[in-house]
Amino acid sequence: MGYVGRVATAIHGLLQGMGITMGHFVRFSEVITQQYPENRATLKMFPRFRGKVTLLRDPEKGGYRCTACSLCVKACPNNSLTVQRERDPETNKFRLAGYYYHFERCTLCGLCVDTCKFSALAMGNNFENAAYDRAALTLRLDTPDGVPQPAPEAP
Amino acid sequence: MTDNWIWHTERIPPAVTAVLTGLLGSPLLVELVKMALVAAVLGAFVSLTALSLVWIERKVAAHVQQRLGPMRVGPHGLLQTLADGLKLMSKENITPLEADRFVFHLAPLLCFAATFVALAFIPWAPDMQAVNFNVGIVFVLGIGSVGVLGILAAGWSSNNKWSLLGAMRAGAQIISYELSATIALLSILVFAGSLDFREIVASQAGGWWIWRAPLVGLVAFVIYGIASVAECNRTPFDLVEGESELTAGFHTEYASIRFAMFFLAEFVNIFVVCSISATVFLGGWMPFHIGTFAGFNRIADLIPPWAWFFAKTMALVLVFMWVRWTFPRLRVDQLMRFEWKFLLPLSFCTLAIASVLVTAGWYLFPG
Repeated sequence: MGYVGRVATAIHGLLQGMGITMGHFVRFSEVITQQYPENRATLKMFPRFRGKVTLLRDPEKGGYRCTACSLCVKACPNNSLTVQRERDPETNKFRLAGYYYHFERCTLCGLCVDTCKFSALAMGNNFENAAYDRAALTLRLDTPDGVPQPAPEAP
Repeated sequence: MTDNWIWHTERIPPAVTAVLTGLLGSPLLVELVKMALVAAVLGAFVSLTALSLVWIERKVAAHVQQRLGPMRVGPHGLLQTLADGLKLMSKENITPLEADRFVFHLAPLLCFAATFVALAFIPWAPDMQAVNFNVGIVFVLGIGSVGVLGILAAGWSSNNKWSLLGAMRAGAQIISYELSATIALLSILVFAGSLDFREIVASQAGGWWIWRAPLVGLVAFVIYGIASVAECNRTPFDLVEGESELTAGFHTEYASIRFAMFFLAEFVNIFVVCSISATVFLGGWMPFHIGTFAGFNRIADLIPPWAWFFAKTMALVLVFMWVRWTFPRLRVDQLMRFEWKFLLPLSFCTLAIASVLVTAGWYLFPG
């Protein structure tokens, strides 16, 4: 390819680049900026987002799926999870007695969700995690209504 | 409808002179007041242009990068630059220790004055030109070099290695690219046959030089565009400021109102080079006419001349911004190689071909 050919290729490349940027400029629907406090009601986080760990319920039986096996506790690198268990007096099997989540220590790595054999855990997609007091970040997850409650008594 | 001063701006200066003569009497006083008026109008225009261009630039940058840009201050962030400007004014005016104080304080003024003066020579509409000068374009190109002097002075006096490096780069770059810019303009000036802005515009009554000069006009237009981007120190030729290498180049040590003046000069400079380009290549305030299509020509005449001028200039400014947010920065050696081994030979060829075409009369609608 001669000199003129190289110049032509260069100009073609430059024009291609300008075409791409003009494409972005013209298509306003491509804008990914979120006007956060205003669009709070409609804001949808992407599924990959890792928020607070949440306990999932079994849609058929109604209770939590967690079997209190404590695999998540072992997987957690910074000891943010504590599982308390008790024996069911009828079946003599273990069952969940308290699932405590130290959010102040959590790095949101998601290893607990990866290890869970019963798909009982998930990363939530709420990102408004600020609190005025550290104590408010220690949560009990297995509440009757499913809303995590501050648990100052957590082990 | 079109028979009033909005369309016939050439009626404004005599009317103003008549009013002032009636008020003041003495011709000397009238001239002085007229000078002050023009300076005030240009000053207001400069600040307004800079404010709006900064906002437009940020919006263009944002949408090119799939963002929204300033949205908070005023509707769609319209007042953002005003707020930023006020903030800049209220900042402490720092002069570095061991700086050459006099030169340090003079440099932003030089930069600003250069662009401000250049603005006075460009005709916005019939007779809407602060200074009518028969070699106006030479003067504007000359005064543009004073801006380089300001940049060099700023870099030298800051007592900062990065500033000096940026200033030296600016000097080398602007002097190199001014050659191509001037020669590209020259190849159109041989067609126009005049160095007077007014006559250059008048010579385009039959059509704009960008297409009347076959191919040469277009090539010269592109060369001037590239060279003037480099002269404005804008990406992809912004080695002068090269944030990643020189923090901010020549204005690293500047703060407050002095920094604002550099900023103002930079944006007004964009406007100036774009308006020169619009005047020389795109017919200035001349409406777009197609030969003998009387109906179309009449519709084009419905838009006032100053609107044509600003529309053309703003279109070119937008292209500048588009280019800026598309291309990455060149290396210093690439910058020099591009100018001396590509752009300059090309502009010499253009000039030679243009001269031949003019001598032979081989262009559209000669006469």
